[in-house]
Amino acid sequence: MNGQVTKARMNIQLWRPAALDEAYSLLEKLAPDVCAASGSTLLQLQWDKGTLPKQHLVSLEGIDEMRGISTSDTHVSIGGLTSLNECRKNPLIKRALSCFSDAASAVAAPGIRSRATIGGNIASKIGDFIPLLLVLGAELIVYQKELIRLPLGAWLSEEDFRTAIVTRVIIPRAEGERVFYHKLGRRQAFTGAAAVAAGRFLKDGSIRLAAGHADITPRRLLDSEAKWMAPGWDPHELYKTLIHELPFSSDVFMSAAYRKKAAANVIMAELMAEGGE
Amino acid sequence: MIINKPSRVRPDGRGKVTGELKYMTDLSFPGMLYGKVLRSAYPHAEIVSVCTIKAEKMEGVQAVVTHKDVPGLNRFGIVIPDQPVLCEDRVRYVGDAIAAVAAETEEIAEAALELIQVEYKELEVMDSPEKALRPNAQRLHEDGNILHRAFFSNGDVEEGFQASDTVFEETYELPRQMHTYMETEGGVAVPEDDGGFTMYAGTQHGYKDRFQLARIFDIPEEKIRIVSSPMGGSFGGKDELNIQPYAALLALKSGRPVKIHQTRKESVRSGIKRHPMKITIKTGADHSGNLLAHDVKIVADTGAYATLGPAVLDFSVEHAAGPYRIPNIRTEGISVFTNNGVAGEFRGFGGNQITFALETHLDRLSGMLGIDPLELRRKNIRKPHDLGPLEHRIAPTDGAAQVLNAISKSPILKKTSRNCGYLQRGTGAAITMHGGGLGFGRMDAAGGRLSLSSEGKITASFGFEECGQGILAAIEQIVMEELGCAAEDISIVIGDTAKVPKSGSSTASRGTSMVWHAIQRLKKPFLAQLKKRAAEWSGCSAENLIPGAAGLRDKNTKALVVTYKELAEKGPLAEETAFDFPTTPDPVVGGHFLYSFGAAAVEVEVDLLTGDVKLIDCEHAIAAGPVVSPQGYRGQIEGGAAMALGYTLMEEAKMTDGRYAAENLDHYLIPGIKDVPDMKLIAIEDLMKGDVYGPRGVGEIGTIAITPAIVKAVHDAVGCWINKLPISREELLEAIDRKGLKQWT
Repeated sequence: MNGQVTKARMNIQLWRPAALDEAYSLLEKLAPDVCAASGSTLLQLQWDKGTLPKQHLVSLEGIDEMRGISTSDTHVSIGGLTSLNECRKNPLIKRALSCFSDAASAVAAPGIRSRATIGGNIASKIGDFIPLLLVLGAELIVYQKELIRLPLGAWLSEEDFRTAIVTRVIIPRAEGERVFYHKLGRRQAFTGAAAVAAGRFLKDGSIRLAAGHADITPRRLLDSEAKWMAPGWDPHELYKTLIHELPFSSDVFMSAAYRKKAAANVIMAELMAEGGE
Repeated sequence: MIINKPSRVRPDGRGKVTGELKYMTDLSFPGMLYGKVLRSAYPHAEIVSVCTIKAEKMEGVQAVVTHKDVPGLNRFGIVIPDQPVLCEDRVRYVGDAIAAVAAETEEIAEAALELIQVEYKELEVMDSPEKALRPNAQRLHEDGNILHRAFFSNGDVEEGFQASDTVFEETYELPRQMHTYMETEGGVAVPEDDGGFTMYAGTQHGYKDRFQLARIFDIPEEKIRIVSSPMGGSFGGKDELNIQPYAALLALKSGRPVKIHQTRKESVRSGIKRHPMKITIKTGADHSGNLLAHDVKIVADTGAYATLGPAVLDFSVEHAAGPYRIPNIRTEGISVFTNNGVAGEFRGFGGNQITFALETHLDRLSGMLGIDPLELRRKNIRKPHDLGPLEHRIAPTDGAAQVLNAISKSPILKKTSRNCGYLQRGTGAAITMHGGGLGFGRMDAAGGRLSLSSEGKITASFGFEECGQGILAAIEQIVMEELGCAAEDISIVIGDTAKVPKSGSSTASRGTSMVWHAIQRLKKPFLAQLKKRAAEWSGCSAENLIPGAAGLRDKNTKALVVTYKELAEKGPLAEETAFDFPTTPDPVVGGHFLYSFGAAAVEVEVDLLTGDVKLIDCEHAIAAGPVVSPQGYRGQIEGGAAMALGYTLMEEAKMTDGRYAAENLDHYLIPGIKDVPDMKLIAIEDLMKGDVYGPRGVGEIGTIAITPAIVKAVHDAVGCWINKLPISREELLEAIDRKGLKQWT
């Protein structure tokens, strides 16, 4: 196992493009033995497990248009190369989207946060931020021969964008709305997520719920949302719907049943606090 | 903690916190090669063939070794040498070594391992003691699959149960815990001109490593030098040989220094772990809470090889009734070979497992009897002059009652605030008794040396190892207190067989205790020599001189008469002592003589939504004689408690079909600082009148009682009993859900 890891590292060729079109061309040309890299923290784990036998790495770090944070009255725009630590500490984000900077405190260990990027978290399709971004209605600007703006949900589900580079995330500010985000681990100190659950109570009385965990692509919980919005919702029924809908899987350390129960419980507690029947 | 002595900065503190201090794994030598060990691909298999030709031909490879290169006994093991250094024809766990490579770089060595062709024939994996004990199970060793049996009985348990009003039986399951030292196993072997070698690698007993390596290399022990301190943690895990034989074999074959430093994955795969155990306890009591009968069965999964497995089981059997006197008792233990890694020595040494089972069992029994759990303990607690747990004589001690009384008064147990939304709090307490030293019938020699160096330093030399526990601080403190000199006058030499006397192992809570004993023996003759020389030098009467800072001083005026440096100019001066750890006079194998006692009170918070258990507050009461080094004492208790917290709430080196499920610390979890609360500590320093045995070690006593205290607190919070560790969030959540504590379940 270790031999494979080292061999992979010894033979890897690193490319450092300065522009999106150059990076994309390299990714197309070198496919399938190529991988885009920004903070490389997830790649580190894959190397360690011997599951990343890619021959080429295309570093995105030199692409300036993937940097920068800006806000408008309605949105926050975050460059894909922004580190998770910056997401947590940046005054603009804190002021305009505090739920997002708060959530950043629960994503990754402190050392990883200084390297890992929001673009990488999203591009991995298993990142802990994704459930929160889903309920916030985030959009992405991806590069695939041209810049394309599309909803995060579409990016996650559509195969067409498999090779696109996530350059920027655009997040509605959700002002005056209650947003919750729970990352469940296996101890008080940081661990990989056993489950992540997020929700947003919209001003129009509707709700958005989403969940995921480290091994699966997060998704919206549409049936549960509908159940909650139906008049006279029943907590037992909604709990059952959540259990049914939560998209979790088992591993040797934790069963899907546990993940579902725990995530359903924290969502239920939030729903009851908002106005249980 | 109220201890009547000032806190001091430990001698190795600055070097450790600044990173200046060099560990053995930091060392480099000119021409040094890097070694890697090929471990088994299977948990159980025959080796059909091993071909190393391709690896040997690889550019940059300087040596490849297999079992054919072992000149002496191709086995190691502290108690029974049954573990192959390099396997000949069979592998019994995934950490078994088959070959090793030394190369110019670590990367080349790793790549060369992949060129070694091993043909295996897979065998059935004995992945549990139950499977290994089946009548037709394949024998893992010549003598079968039972490593060791241990038995103790007194009185008649059946009669005791008949006389009991309440009888309760339960089975408790304990996990495989990893030591998780920060510095993984590693070091450098350097070949010497005389055909021997110097081994720079952390261990808990340099002379024992030397003995084992001499047996493997078939050379006199004197040709091997072990330099073994400091090391970045051990907790029992580096007591046994690990990388030393491979580094030395490669060094002698290549004629160059060879460094091996295991990655965390290699450490997980090959390193020893705490014994998983299943413990069934049946206990009877009368309606007043007098314990009348106690029947205990222990099954330990010792893995593929022996190491200290027999002694761990003996310790569990000895402590089956803890600090309680029960007239009718029967304890049976069995330690079973399996293909699950290797289990062996680990801080607490079998005490953690049995104490969790015993104390939890008593808490549950007290509930059935309707008696306060601490009152039940008080009714049955041992008295100062009672015999020990194996009905053997021990040093009289009132430690059990002292810690029980102290913890009963803990403010934690009086807390009333319990609920906050979906977070529910509870409290619990437990106590324990822990034998120090190796026990009767086991070679447990100690010793030390005091000398005056040519630089005028009072040099304390011991064969102990600094594995983070603070033995240097303990030695400095004891020498200062007993001799009256200043810290600046002292130099300490440890961890080098070329320089130190034999002191025995740095295990079994014995280091500090044995340093104190040694200095008690050495101080009088050493000071007599110093005074005699000082009297000759100064013309003063020896009776009027006392040792102090910088040198000998006038007894009345305290004026400096002669410096240690001046005395050193007259030539060397030394005193050495050798003695044995105090043992019981009764021939009870493994029975201890000196015991320490610990109690813990805790408050936990249980999350009804997730089953998460969080330790909120913790207080310890420890009775282990006088405190030597205040911070060292606190560090041992708090560190031990953090380790126990991990054992209770999250740590398990899970195995599936003989393979570790978690290879690294992303999935094998240990507590982080967020998991560990501030802790309070009551140190009970009193000893019985006439006790001449001084301070007991505290390396283990803080790591035992906290586990059952947490389990009791969880029950107090949510009414669920735990009989399996680590506490499963999943199982706890199911139990909580069954109670219908939430509106939607």
